[in-house]
Amino acid sequence: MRATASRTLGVWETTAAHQRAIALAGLGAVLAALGRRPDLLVIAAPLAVAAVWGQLARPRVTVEATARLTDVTLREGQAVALHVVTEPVVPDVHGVVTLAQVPFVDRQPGSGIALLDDGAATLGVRSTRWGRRRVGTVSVTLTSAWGAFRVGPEELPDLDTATLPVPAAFDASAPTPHPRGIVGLNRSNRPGSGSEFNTIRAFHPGDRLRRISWPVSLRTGTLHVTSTFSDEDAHVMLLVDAFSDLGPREGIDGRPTSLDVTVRAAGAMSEHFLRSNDRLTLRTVGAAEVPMLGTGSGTNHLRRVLDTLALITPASERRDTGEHALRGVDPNALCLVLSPLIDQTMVGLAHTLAARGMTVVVVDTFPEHLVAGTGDVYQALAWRMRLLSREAQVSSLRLRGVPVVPWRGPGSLDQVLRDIARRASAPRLSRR
Amino acid sequence: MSSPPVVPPSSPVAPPPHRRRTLRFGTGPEWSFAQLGMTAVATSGVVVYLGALHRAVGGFDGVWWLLALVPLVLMPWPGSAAPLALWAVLLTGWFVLTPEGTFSWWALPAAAGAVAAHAAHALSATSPPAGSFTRVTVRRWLRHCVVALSAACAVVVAVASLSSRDLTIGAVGLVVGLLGVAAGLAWVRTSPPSSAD
Repeated sequence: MRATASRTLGVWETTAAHQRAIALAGLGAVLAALGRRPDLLVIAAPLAVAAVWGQLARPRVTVEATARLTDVTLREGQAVALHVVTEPVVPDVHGVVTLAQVPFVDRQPGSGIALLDDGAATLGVRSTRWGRRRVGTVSVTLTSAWGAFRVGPEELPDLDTATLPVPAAFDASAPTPHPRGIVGLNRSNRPGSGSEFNTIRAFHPGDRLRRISWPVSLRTGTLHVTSTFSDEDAHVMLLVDAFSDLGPREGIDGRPTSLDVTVRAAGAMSEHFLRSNDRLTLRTVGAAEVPMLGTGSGTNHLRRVLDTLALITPASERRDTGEHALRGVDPNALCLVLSPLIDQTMVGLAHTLAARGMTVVVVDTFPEHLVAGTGDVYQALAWRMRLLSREAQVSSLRLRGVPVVPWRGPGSLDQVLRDIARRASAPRLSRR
Repeated sequence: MSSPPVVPPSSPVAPPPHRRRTLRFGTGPEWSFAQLGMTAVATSGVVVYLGALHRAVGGFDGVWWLLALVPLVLMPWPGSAAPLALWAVLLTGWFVLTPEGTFSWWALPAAAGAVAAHAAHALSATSPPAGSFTRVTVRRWLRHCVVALSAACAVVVAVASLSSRDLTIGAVGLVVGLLGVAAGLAWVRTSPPSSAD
């Protein structure tokens, strides 16, 4: 990503104003001389002064303009400063910097025009939607005294920013199922060193002395210790649907599209699970040029996840069947499929994961405002038909045992994760 | 288990101290009040010029007053050749309407109108329609205009002192004057920029 751009502004050229001053002064002088009109000499005199002054004040230096963003990685809604500097500073020169308007970038001032003061100007740039994009083209114009000579408007090379999604608020009080690691916060089914109470048992060699339960030991006459379940980390896989981006794109200040909800929910879940020391894998379906992100944990991995989410371009790979996204998935991972469930491919992938015996939860990211505010009768009818078809797909998933929960922010997954944990601990029929 | 706080959108750039005031005509571009002010100055310059011409010649056809509307029409194109055409017409009008060999003190306000309109067009062309100008810039241009107008004052004093004499230019004087104009034009055409170092 480019945070700094420089360009030489080129050659100073005469303006129409300078040519006008020369032509009118010359015309007035000639008419005054030929027609014996001394009045015209008076009228032409200030224009002649303007022409001579402009010519004498002609700048003769080559100016270089530099634009610099203070930060290239932003969060949605965050603003950064765009500094524009011209060097060397030419005295008595009027400089104007313009920043072109592009979607999802707010400019400050709103016109995108700033005046150079001592060769420097600052504009504000605010990114209103996640994704990688260029801020508008910066162009610089310098004009000498009397507007006689001008250089530019010269466009500087475009600057790039990466806008990370602002994760929605999310929290889950239920433990993540199938903990298998060694460093997490989830209670496992195995006894070990942890914080969750298991039982009180007789002392064994090797038990820590601080685990001794003195009341029980005094009552029974033999040493007893408090045993705990071990805390372990789980593996979470996020499968993000990039096929659909439904709704008007209004950025962070407006109503979210389905992909906005999906990406922000993915960011929120990633933040939650990674801060709980769980391992996380992110896979996207339907977006081209999004790298496969491996399994990882910790805050650095959270940054990688958000970077990857910012790379998503909706529906840029329509032929994606999602097979590559399911390769090498840990069979014990908790698979969270984030989708508005409009594209059949994602429903099929959820079925495939469930058929493999994996724990799958579908998070429905369909924004309700899409159908709530429809004033057009035909559009409402179309949505109604589409939602009926979607309801059938959701029912097929539920029949297979795949829970489908709407994204509601904090606590969205609590009930379903508790159900999964209960189901995992329930007696099961097994082959002998 | 509590979720870490979400990073709130921050704004390191201070809000602008003044509210931007613009005007839009139909579906056209936004116009700043500063640019509209420049157009008003240019229009006023033409009006002052025509008023001075009216007083100098004792009246003329009312069609000439329509030229005062031209700067309003030219507002989107201050950096084009159109203002040159307008002022060429106005200078020619002075030439046509005033009798030969006369002098009027009304030439001085006409010169003020001309230089004000020229400066307004020139300054307007340095910025986009929605752009504005700092007070420093406006004051600097005002100073420039006053200095340029002082040249007109000097000329008007010289012309007034010579008006009682015979101002007929001889053939040699005419050739010398035209050569001077030609030399001046050649100078502004061939003044090359020196090297950057």
